[in-house]
This record gives sequence, C-alpha cells and structure tokens, in this order.
Amino acid sequence: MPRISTGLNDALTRLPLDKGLRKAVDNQRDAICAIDMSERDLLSPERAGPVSIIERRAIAVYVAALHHERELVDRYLTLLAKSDGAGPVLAHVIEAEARRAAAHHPAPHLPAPTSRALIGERLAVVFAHIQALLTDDRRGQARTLGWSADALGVVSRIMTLIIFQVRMIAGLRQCAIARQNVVPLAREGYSHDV
Amino acid sequence: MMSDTSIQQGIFHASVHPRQGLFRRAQGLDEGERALVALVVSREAGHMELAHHHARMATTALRDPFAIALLLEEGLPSPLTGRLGALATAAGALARKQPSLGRFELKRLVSNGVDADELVDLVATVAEVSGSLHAAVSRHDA
Repeated sequence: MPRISTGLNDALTRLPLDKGLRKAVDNQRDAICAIDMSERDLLSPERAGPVSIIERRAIAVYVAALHHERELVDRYLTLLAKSDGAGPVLAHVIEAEARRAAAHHPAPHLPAPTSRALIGERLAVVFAHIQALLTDDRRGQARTLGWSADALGVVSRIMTLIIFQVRMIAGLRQCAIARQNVVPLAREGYSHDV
Repeated sequence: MMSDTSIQQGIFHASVHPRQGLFRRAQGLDEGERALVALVVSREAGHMELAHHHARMATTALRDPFAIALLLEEGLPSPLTGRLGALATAAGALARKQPSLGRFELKRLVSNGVDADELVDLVATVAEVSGSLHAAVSRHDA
C-alpha cells in the first residue's frame, strides 16, 4: 500500500502565523516531523495487526470530526477513501456518522441501523467506545465487544495522535489571532520575540 | 518491513530526538512550567489523580510548593500572579473544549517574559496532555 505523505507540518504551514510565531514553530520542526512519522506508522502501517488500515483511518476521521477540526477530517477522509477495500461510499457513510456524533457530542450518539450495517458492528462498537472515553462514561468504556486489549491500545494511540494535532492546530490558531492585537504593543518593548 | 512501531515507541519517536515528548522539548518552557501546565489541563478536565502527579513534578522542579498547592486546591481562575499565574491562566484557556486565548491572556504572558518559543511550547504541552487524558482514564480503570 502506498504511504501517503501528509501531516501536522502541512497543517501548521497553512496557518496564518506572524513571523515570530512562524520561527518558533520552525524551531520545533524535528518534533513535528516525528509526529508526522507517527501518523504514518499508525494510519499506514505495512502490517496492520489487530486493527485494519480501514479501521485506523475511520477512527481518525471520527475523532477529528468529534473535535470539529475540518482540515483534519478532510485529510483523513481522503486517506480513508484511498484505502484498499474502502472507497468513497464507506468514507461518506463514516463522515456522515461522525458529523452526527459531533453534533450530539458530548451526548452519546449511536449510528442508525442502516449506517451500522454499512460500517459494520466492529466499527460501531469502537465509535461508541471512543465517545465514552471522551465523556468519561465508564460504563460505555467497558463495552468493547470484539476488540482485544492490543487493538484498543492502537485505538488509544490514534486518539492521542489526533487530539494532539487538533489541539496544536486550534491552539496556534488562537495564538495567531491574539497576537494580531498584541504584537504592536510588543514592539514597544513588551515582547522578547521581535 | 515496517510494523506499527508506534505501539512500542509512543507518538513521539524517542529515537529521532532524545529531548522530544512531554517535558523533553529542546526549546521553550522549563520542566517545572510544563508540569504546571499539565497540572492545570488535568485538573480542569477533572482528572485529579493525574493533576496530583503533575503537581508533585511541578513542586520538585519549581521549588514553589505553596504556589502549586494553591493551584491544585483552587484551580482556575488562578490565584497565582506573575509568570506562573500567566501560564496557568493561558493553559486553562487553551484547554477549554473550544480553545481560546484572548488578548488579555496573551498580553499577560508577554509582559511576564513568555516569548514565541515558549508560547508554542505552551500550546504543545496543552495539546500533549489533552491527548493523553483518555488514556489516563483507561489506565486508571485497569
């Protein structure tokens, strides 16, 4: 399977950062590249192990959608649609389910029976599990029928990766907006970065 | 052939750079400040056990047990002043479900000497702790 080059690096490059913030992000280039490597390892492994590549990418779409980070959703949808055995129809169904879940979040949302039949029981179970993890619903977290401990470990790592990226992009976006007002003051002597 | 090495290595590849990962980035905040930020994020998410863990690290590194105890006990809005207060307040703002960092929080950071490298590190630390919270729940239940 071809390994698709994407990543946090690209997303951060597209953010409208001022010169000082851009330089600071560039100073973290090694760490950001390492995160992109982790993304490839998690979403495009040559040996998928207990979680298939389609499932991994579907989980990435779902977690990004729950956090309303459009750019990441689009990126992982593209990746999912290119997966062997997936295609745009499955990607579309998963996107629709993720959107519905995001609209209800943090209230739990279960896929409609039609969608459930299309995405499969296994993904439906893990989507509910992900919602439970994000809302501290202990009872829901325990419902993992069909998922081994190793498989849930992979799910957890994908969640960690996606939430990290969501927070990094959203946080830097907020910094960029705030600095549009504060940087002129900084030029008068408040800042150490210009 | 490559396998899913991330299972063993975590999302930050230690082999790429020995100082990457939580509390180990080469530039930015010092370890105590990162632990303080982690304390705020954990506490605001209701993960008190994790907050206590980060509080112990922050206390050791910052050598200001009173400030850390106050933050752990009272949470946000933070009673702390100066640089630690600015970092705690900004961390809380960035850790909200819809992250926000207003002009006031940023001015407070800047006036307390937080530069752009440290600001990026603050965002990265909030992101890293936020990303690990669900895993902390799983570990706690196990």
